[in-house]
Amino acid sequence: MNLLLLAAEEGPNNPILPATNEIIWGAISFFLLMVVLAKVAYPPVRKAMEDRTAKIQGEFDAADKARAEAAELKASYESKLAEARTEAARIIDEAREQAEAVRRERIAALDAELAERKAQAEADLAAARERALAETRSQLAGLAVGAAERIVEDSLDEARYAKLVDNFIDRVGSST
Amino acid sequence: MELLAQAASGADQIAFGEAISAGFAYGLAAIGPGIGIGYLVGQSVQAMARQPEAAGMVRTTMFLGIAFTEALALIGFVVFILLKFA
Amino acid sequence: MIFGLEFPPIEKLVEWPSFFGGDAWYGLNKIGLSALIAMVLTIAIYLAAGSKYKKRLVPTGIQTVAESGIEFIDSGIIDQTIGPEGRSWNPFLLSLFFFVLITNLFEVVPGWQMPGNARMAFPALLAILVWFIFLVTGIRYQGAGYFKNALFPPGVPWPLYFLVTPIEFVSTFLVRPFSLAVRLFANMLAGHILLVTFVVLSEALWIKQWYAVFLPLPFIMLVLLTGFEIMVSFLQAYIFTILAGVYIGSSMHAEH
Repeated sequence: MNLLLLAAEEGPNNPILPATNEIIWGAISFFLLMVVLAKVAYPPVRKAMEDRTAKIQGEFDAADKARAEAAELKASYESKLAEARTEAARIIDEAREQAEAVRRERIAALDAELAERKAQAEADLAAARERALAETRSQLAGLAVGAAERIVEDSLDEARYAKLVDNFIDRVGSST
Repeated sequence: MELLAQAASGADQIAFGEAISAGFAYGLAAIGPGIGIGYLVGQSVQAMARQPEAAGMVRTTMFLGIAFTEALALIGFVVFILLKFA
Repeated sequence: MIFGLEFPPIEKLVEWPSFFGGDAWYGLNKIGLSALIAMVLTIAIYLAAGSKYKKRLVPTGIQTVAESGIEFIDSGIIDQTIGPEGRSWNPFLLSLFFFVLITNLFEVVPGWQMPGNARMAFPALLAILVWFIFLVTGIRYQGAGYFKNALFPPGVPWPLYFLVTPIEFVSTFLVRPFSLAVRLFANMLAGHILLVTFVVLSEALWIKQWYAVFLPLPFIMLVLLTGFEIMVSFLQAYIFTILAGVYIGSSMHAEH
């Protein structure tokens, strides 16, 4: 009751009205807080946080870059390796081909030589045979003439003599 | 009752009326926001359950809605303080 | 008066004598001191955190507190209400948050037990400051168009403006600061009175009577409510800050 009248008489005691001294101290505190925080205390923390973010980001970027480089290097090595491998295969193939060609050439040359030699041998053989035949024939003719001269003792005319020899040779030739 | 009525004179009657109306002021002021906040939070929980990926946004909006709704009940409380103590 | 239970008049609960200065305008009482402590504590946290970075960039101890405050304001309040372009509001909202939070938390500090915001002075001061700031921001970003957008929202048929404009005027320019202040003030005052109620109940049962067996009930309730009030302190600081963010954001962006 008394309190009620007291409160009604004294405005500032109303519990929902702000008291002057509290406003003053609150205002001083809050504005000081705002100014000091914004100008002095806040920026270093913010800057450190941003620096750290940038640093971590930079490290991640560097790691990514290193990884990409390594992958690139690996790819280049692999491609070089593959290249070398195909090169080797190509060289081997080439060598094989060359060897084959050489072999074939040699065989062909040998074949040709063989054939040539064979032909020459045959020709030689034929020539020797021919020669031997001719020699034999001429010897036989001389022999036959001598024999005939000795046997007949008289000389035959030239024509009959030649005919006789030819007959003889023919007979001898067919018998041999 | 007669005794009470006789005793209650003048300022006592005023205090009596103030006490009663203060109680009713807060009690009535709390009904609407009570229903409102219940509905609001219920719907927010449903939304968060249906779309958990939007939970952060729903939560922020829910707190804002609670703040606005709750203001009504708090004004009722201030009226209570005013009637009872001021 | 039941069981010797007497609830103290509210002046005893919220009005504190000055340490010096009496009733003069410079009289410093518990409320004013809590504001000073909030200021010193916040600045000390950030100065201590900032000076530690020279040694190492990895946050420890107090740096974690400072950084989580900044992160919380950034991602929890600015990104949600103003948008990422409003990051320059961080120091203001940060000081708002810490100031309200620490003065609130004095509600549960043993031996102090008085939330600074259970008096109308700080909430009213901060609400008027926020009101002034969002008005200035609106004029700076949108010029005179700010009032046009706020009072005559686009996309409304013109006869409705007779109805909409007064409502918008009241809700934007009058109710906003009022509800901002009253929300914080009434929440903290209600919490304070709630705690006092259970303290008075516990005290009244501290007697040699048979009904002293009920003493544990209000005491357990008192402990639980103390925890609840810590949560309310954080929640109210968050809500005050996010509403400031919402108002500033609505001043910076034209459409509703």
